[in-house]
Amino acid sequence: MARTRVVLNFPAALVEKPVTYHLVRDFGLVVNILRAEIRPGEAGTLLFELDDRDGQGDLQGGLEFVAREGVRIQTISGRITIDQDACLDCGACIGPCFAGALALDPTSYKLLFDDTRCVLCKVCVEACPAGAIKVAF
Amino acid sequence: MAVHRTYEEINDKIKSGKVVVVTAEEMVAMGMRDGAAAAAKKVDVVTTATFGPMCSSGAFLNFGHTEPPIRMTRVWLNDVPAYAGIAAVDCYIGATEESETQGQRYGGAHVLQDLVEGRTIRLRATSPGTDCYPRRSHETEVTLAGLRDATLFNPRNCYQNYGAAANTTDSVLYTYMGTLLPRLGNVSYSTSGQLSPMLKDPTYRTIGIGTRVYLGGGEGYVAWEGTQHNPEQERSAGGVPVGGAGTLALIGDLKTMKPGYLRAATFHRYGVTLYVAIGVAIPVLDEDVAAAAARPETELYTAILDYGVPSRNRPALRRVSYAELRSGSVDIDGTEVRTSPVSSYRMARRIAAELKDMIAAGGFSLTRPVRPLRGAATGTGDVPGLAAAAAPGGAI
Repeated sequence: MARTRVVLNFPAALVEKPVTYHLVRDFGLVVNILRAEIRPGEAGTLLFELDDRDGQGDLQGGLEFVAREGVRIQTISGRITIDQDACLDCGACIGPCFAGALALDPTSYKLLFDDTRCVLCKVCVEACPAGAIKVAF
Repeated sequence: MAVHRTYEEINDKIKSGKVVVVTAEEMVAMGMRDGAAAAAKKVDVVTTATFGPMCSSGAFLNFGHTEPPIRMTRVWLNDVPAYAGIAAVDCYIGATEESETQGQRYGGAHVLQDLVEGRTIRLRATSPGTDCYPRRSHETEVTLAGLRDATLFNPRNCYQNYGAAANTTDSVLYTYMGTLLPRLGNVSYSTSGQLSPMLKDPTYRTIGIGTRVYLGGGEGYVAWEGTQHNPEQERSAGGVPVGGAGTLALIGDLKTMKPGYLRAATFHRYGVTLYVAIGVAIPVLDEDVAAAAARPETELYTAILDYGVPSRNRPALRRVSYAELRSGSVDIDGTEVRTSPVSSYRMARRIAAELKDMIAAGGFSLTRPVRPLRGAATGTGDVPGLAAAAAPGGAI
């Protein structure tokens, strides 16, 4: 795994800890913060893209370090739900998804979601006429 | 030898189980492989379908008389106002009407969906009271099964074609065509393209008043031209309109309709609408009908309109084929712009397949229109000049 996207949930006490600095210096990772919501003194949420530069960095070690620090790690898929019964497979969510995470399967025309592209921006939540998409961030 | 079939011949074949029926998607593939003339020889019926947001939809409901009777002058269904300016216990619940308590989260379309899915609806009605209808208010719970009558009547469905939407302004637009990102961030379109009923019978050779359709998973009919029916629209090869043109008013018994085939939806900051499942069977009367039904999406066009211009006449950015729209991106002035539909092709395909199966099983016969739609071609083989369009009433 060379690249991954994770959501980090910081408890209030850890919000001011320089986690990014350690991931870069100690684990050799390229860290791209795609989305962040941190209010000092309160809990915070960060969407990170971590890249181990083709094995030069230690991705597994970095994630274990973050977990040891008390930060809860979630996948993108854990943050977004698409209710398959409610979904009409209409496609109204796809155009506004500038991240390119949503598409229709070219054969079945069912909605596909690619969690490696999602930035949890929530534009799809508003765009879905069926109210089928929920995003927590 | 030229192909000529009559409705009677086709219905006899349906009855005897010998009918050859394909979906419009399959017809396109056959046309590409063997040519439309060969497809015309083999195929008796082509099924088409659409499942898109159709705001101009609703239902007439009759609640049956209360004891003592009431002449309802105001009616609410789950807090959604229904039009009660008709007889005592009749009303019309329109798809886009919004709840007085929940706003855009619940509307007339949701009432219709809830009824079809067997849920209980709270009916509230008031009246000034009259000598013959003394009661002044009534509140009860109703279900579809318990209603005296429930007739879906949609004044405008099945738009023959529709402009695609984009946005050249600097801010996001929330429209009935979905979310349009600024500076041409995306293009949205809303027809089922090669499966679309009215694109597959572009000159109304077979779809007319009285045509039986597969509506909401039940039985329906074309009641009339839809409102805004505009056969005069500019047309490309084969008489296919390049923008919004013909429309259909559809009617059917809500009690025959099935869950999943009428789906309520809310377009953010626009409001409530209803996704309506419609399947239409096209009898292959001759080679012209076959050629139109076999026309691929590379030859079906619409215009990309700029919804950033708040006008009835939105400027067109370019003409585009449905093949390009379906590919996922189109070029606008050198920029690749992402495209996506707001109507469900997966559902359209399913509806067309179900209608095909019903016809193959002898469960759905075809009807000759009682009267052609205004602007219908006569079937003399000419690409229509649509001269009849000038005369309202067409070929009565």
